[in-house]
Amino acid sequence: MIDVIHLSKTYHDSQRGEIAAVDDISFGCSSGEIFGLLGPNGAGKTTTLRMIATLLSPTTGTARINGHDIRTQSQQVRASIGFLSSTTGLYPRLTPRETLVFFARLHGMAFRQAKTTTDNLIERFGITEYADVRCEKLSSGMKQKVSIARALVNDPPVLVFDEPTVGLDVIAAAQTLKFVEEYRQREKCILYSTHIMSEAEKLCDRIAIIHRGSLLAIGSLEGLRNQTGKRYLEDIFLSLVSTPLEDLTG
Amino acid sequence: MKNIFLVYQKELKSFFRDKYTLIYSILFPILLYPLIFWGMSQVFTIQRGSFEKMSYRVGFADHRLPNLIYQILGSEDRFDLFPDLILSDVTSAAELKSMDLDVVVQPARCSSDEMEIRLIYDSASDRSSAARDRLEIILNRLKLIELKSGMLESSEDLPDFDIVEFDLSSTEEKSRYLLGILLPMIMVIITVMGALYPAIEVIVSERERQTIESTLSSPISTGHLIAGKFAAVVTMSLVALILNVVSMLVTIKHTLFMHGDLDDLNFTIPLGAVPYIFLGAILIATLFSAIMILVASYAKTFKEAQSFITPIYAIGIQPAVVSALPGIKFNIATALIPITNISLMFRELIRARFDLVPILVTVGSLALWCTIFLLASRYLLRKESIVLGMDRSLFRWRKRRTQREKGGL
Repeated sequence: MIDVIHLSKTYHDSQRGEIAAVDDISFGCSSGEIFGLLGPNGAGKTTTLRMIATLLSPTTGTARINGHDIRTQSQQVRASIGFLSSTTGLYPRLTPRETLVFFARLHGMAFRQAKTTTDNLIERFGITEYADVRCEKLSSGMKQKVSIARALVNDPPVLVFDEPTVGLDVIAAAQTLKFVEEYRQREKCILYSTHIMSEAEKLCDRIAIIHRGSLLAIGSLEGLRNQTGKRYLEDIFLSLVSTPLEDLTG
Repeated sequence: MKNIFLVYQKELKSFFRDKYTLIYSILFPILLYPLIFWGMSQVFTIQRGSFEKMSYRVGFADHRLPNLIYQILGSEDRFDLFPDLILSDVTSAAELKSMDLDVVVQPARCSSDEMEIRLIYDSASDRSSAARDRLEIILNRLKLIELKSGMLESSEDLPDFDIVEFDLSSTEEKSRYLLGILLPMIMVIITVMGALYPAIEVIVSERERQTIESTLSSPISTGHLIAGKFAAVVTMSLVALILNVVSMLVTIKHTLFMHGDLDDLNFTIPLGAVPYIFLGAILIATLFSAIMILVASYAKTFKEAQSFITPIYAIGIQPAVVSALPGIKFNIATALIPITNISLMFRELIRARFDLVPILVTVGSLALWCTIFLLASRYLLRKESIVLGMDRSLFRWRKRRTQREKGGL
């Protein structure tokens, strides 16, 4: 479902000059799997996900999403993914219902079909009570539910979540994680980026640890434990990021 | 009291450390406004110069005018007299125009030593009004000399006279002339203002709220997204224009009814002019929307965008003021000056003057500018760094150069 092949992104920063935000990373994720991208802030997680979602173009390398190349088939890629990030906002002056209809129509649905899909999502996510209230008046938990529903409006085979629980309270974060797990059971391919170790431990089938734009390790939690000799993910992560890159790459 | 001072001090420190506050609140008025006023004074000087150089064509209604007046008017460089062209009766502004005259002098002897000099003119024409003013000054001066000295050398030729103005323009022409002074300039200003906040809203606010990411992760091309936003800005600008013009016309009509001497005026725009005005409004709204979207795309915040756009607004509307000045003609030359051309075109259309060549030149020239700015904004907004608001600054080229000079990447 997701094949990332030697993906790199370099950009210019006014203070620091040329920066390699993502440096030659490769990994894959299949349907029914939650693949975690774990790294501290500024590690390159968001840039990677933005390239996969075709919001940014890679400097080198590519990725194939549901068989479509991110460089040459951006429209097909966008039609195959649901993208959600912690920073993604909702149009404040639209209601959740209007938001969902708008995005359903952007995905090519006719108005009647968009309305039916919206009604189903509103019911499934328990949004009914505030479906016709402007988004600017909703709590962060309510907004997150609407955002998740928005990402799923086209029932995509691939879901890309970029730190979806950042800024949420414990209940809203738990609900979000529940939705993610539910969608794994529906055989979706889920790419989940986080810097919260407990989330990665709880959710992910496989984890890639990313630091300063490079992938340091990929594997299941058990595999990473074996590789580092550490039990907890936090210790695994710290042992990997404190190891000089040269040692890891040989 | 101490706390108030601490807050005051902190706020001032923040203001003076904010480069945009410094540039646009302090540096901008210091540099820009003198420049604007200098520019305007140049326009006024040119306009006054052209008025002073202007010569007026004066016709006469009969031969009964005292010789002295012929002599004095004839000695004025700025009058072309046509004493041989005797006009039986001039009853309309169109007749005056068809005879290529600016003013007609009609003497009427009331008694052997008293007469009335009637100045027949068209108040809906800048030229005709200026000719009447000039004639009135000269005749009044003559009257004053006569009164002071008691008698002129050839006093037998000059009976006591009164000057009477006779305006040939109809109520409709007069109303449209007055409307044509202010309305075009206001229309341009409203169109620009109508585009200002929507342009910031669709680009900067969307980036600030981070809603652009979710929209762009849907199967919509950046080009379509920009086109949709652009059309919305143009629409808002046009809606602002239409509502404001209607509101203004209704207000003028009802306010003037309260003044006895103006209540016969009828402030309406000729119906035939409406499609041309609408086309002009679309062009000007498109042009300013493109410019504002282009500039707003460099801003990180709403405040920054406002700071960037304010100078454009302040400078951009200046050429529109020209249409309010008397004597500025709408011709091929002025039709090539952006903003001035549309303002003059609106003025002429409001005054029911359809001179097709300058209208076509105006439309063509504005369409060209629109295309240039649209292509520039399309190019810019297709750049991911601009759309997503990553590391962009108007001063970025400068930083890059500084880094190169320092030996950086």
